[in-house]
Amino acid sequence: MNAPPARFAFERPASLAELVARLARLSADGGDYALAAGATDLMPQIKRGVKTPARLISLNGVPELAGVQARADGSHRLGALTRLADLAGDARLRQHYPALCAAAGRVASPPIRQRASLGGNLLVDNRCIHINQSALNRAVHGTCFKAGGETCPLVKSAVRGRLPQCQARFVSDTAPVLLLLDAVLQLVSPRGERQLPLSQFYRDDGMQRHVLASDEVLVAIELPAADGLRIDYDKLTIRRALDFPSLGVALGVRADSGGTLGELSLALTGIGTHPGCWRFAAAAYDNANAMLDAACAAARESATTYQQDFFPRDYRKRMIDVFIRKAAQRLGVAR
Amino acid sequence: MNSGIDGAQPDAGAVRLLSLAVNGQRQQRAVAPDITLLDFLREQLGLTGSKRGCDLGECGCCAVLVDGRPMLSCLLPAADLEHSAITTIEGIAAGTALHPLQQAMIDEGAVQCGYCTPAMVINGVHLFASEPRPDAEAIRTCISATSCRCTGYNRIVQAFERTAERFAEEQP
Repeated sequence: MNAPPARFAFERPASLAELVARLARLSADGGDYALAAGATDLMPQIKRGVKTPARLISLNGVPELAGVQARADGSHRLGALTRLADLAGDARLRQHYPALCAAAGRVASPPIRQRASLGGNLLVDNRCIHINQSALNRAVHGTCFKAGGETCPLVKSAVRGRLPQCQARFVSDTAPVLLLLDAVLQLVSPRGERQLPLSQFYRDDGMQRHVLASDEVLVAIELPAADGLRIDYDKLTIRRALDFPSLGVALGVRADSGGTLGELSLALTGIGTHPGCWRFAAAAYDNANAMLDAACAAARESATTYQQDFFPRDYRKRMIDVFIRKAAQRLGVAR
Repeated sequence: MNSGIDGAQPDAGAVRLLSLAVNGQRQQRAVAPDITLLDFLREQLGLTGSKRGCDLGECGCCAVLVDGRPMLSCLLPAADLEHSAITTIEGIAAGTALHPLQQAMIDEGAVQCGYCTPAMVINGVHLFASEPRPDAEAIRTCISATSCRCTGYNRIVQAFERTAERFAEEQP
């Protein structure tokens, strides 16, 4: 009996050194591989034929990627393999970063959160109704750049290779909160290690989504102490479980030394190709309401929405204001 | 460990030997590198209690316990689970003695076509193991993982509530 050929080969390196050595070798060979932790984002895309890596490299055996470390100064190091359910349920982390834990607890569904990792959520693929479909649906409705085609069904003027070539939506729930927390990524490749602020990580494109090199590994997320910073995260979805955010809003307020509002910060997910992030210093505004108005205006102006989601584009755009103002109410800021 | 002199792993695309425990029994089987845990359980071990619904991680019907945690077996490469302990719906009852949640699902009429039932129970077993008296919100979050197209969910919620009451009576 002949079994069909395997869709992918499988490897599971047992240390970071072994992993990096493999990546050096594989990328020199032209590297058709995918790194997988929870694989909860990757496997459906492989099954639908959206992604076809020849080789799947599991990160689950690499101990350097696991674990959470708390430091005396209140800063933390979260291993990229930290499972979202563990992050959501960690009593100590909930004291330091309650909004991060809450956002992790809003991803997908409980059994997916048991497997899916924080690093994977930062790297979760962008979504568009034109490509995240069955093979049959994609065949009927035509192709797009991301599917290897020569046109984009959303933006007729888009040109392959000229960014932003693809308007697939950024959908990570944890990224906007981590941006407000000033997270820094620890990245390791055959060329060594580098620290990169999350704010410099993403690119304005649904295909070339970030600056991580193909042979580079996200090892950990470094978080400074969150003293005086309170964050609210909420997202627009059709169902309360499973859905990626059609819009996600993280709003942060930082009190100054006197206890009054010093800075308002805002990050969006679900609506553009990458998470937008803005900061508003209280000194530049008459009052908190003026800061909120500025935040709403900045978000609204930046949000280039296309019909790449099931919600109508105008509805999602109008919800930006609503979500920002509701978050401000929950945080006790103005109106 | 299995690297050749140039770091290549010539066996990565070949059938590999996988050893793990399923419902308390040690299993050692040859598996393809791309087979999911769901296919391994259903096709190679004949354990068909875990259901294939969407096969894409949406419907939740394939849930099993991996080292005590509910996960979707259709999304897990079996080769990634070396030395894991898997519990499927077949391993939940002790002989003919049902788990209290299984009995409550019957008593409350929470089973119709039965396709989602194993996954509802698997998620519930994990819930009650970590939180014997879950509140309404915790119950709804727990069953949010699994699609049921028959019951409208009310009977399933009632079965979970009945189970929580029973645990409360046993350990007041």
